[in-house]
Amino acid sequence: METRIIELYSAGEAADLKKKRIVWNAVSFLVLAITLSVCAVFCASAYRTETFEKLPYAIAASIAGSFVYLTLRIFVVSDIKAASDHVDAILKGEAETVTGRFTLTKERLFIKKGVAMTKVGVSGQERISSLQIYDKKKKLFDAEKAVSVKVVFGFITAYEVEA
Amino acid sequence: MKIVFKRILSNIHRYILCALGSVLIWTWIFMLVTDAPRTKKITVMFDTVSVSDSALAAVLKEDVPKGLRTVKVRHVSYMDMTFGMDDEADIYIIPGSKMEASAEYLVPLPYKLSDGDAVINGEVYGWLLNGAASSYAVYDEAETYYLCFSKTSPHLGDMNDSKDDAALKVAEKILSLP
Repeated sequence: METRIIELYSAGEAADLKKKRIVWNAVSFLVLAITLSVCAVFCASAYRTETFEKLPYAIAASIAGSFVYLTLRIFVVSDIKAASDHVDAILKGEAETVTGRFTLTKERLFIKKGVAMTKVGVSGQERISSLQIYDKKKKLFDAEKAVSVKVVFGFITAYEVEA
Repeated sequence: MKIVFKRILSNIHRYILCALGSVLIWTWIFMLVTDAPRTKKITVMFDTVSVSDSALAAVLKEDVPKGLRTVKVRHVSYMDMTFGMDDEADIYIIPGSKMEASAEYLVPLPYKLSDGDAVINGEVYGWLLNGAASSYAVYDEAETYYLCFSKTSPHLGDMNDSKDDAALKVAEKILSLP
C-alpha cells in the first residue's frame, strides 16, 4: 500500500521564525526608543522652563512605554524565541520512527521556556505509551490516519498516512 | 485567558519595578535638569510664614543678571536648617529675632540702606525689608524682616571677592517688589 509522509517542521519555518524574532525585537526596542524620546522632550521642556510641570507626563509616558515593552518581551518576543529554539532543536535532532495507532489527547504540558505541547497516545507499541506534539502543529496532525510517526526527542515531527 | 493571566501574575514584579523605576528615575532627572550649579544661580531663602516660591521666582527670573541661568526661591523649613540644606543660599530673608543667631552665616554689608537696618556689633548684617515682596510672602506681623547675604555666596562682588555681584542685583529687585 502506498503511503505519503507529511512533514510538520521545515527549514523555511525556522527561517521565518528567526525573521519574526528580529522584527519583534526591533519593534520592542523601537517602543523603548520612542518612550525615551518622548521623555527627553519633556526633560527639554523642564530644562527650558525650570519647572517640574512636565514630570507627571514624563512618568506616565515612561510607565506606559515600559509596560508595552515588557508585554511585547513577555508575550511576543519570548514566545517566538521559544518556538524558534524548539524548531531549531527539532531540525537538528535525529528522528526515529514509531508505528502504532495514535490518538490526540486533551492533555497539555509545557516544556522548557513555556512551549505548549499536547500529549499523543500510542497504542500497539510496547516501548512508548505517549508522545508529544507541538500545540501549533496539532491541527496539521491527523492522528486517525497516521500509521507511523517520526519522533525527535519525543516530539512528533512528521507522520505517515496511507495515500 | 487563564494562561495569559497566570503569565501576567508571574511577571507582575517586573511591571511594578518598571513603574517604581519610572517615578524615581524621572524625578531624579528632572531635579538635575531644572537645577543649576551654584555659580549659575541665585538662591533666595525666605524664613517667613510662607512664600509663593514659583510666582516670586518667575518675577525674579524676568531679568536674571548676565551669566546666570536661574533664580530659585525656597522657604526655609525646619528640615533645611537641620540638615544644612541652606548651604546653597545667596540671599536670606530673616526675622529680626533670628538675626544674632544667624550672623555667623552672613556677610557684613558695606553700607546702610536705612536707619532700621540690622546692626550687630557695629556692623550692618541685614537691610530692612520694610514690607517688600509682601505680595509673594506672608510675614509675621510681630517680626521685622531683613534681607541678608550668605558669606559663602559666589555672587557678592567686592563684598567677598566674588566674580559677579548678581546677588546684589536680585536683592535690589526684591526690595523694589510690592
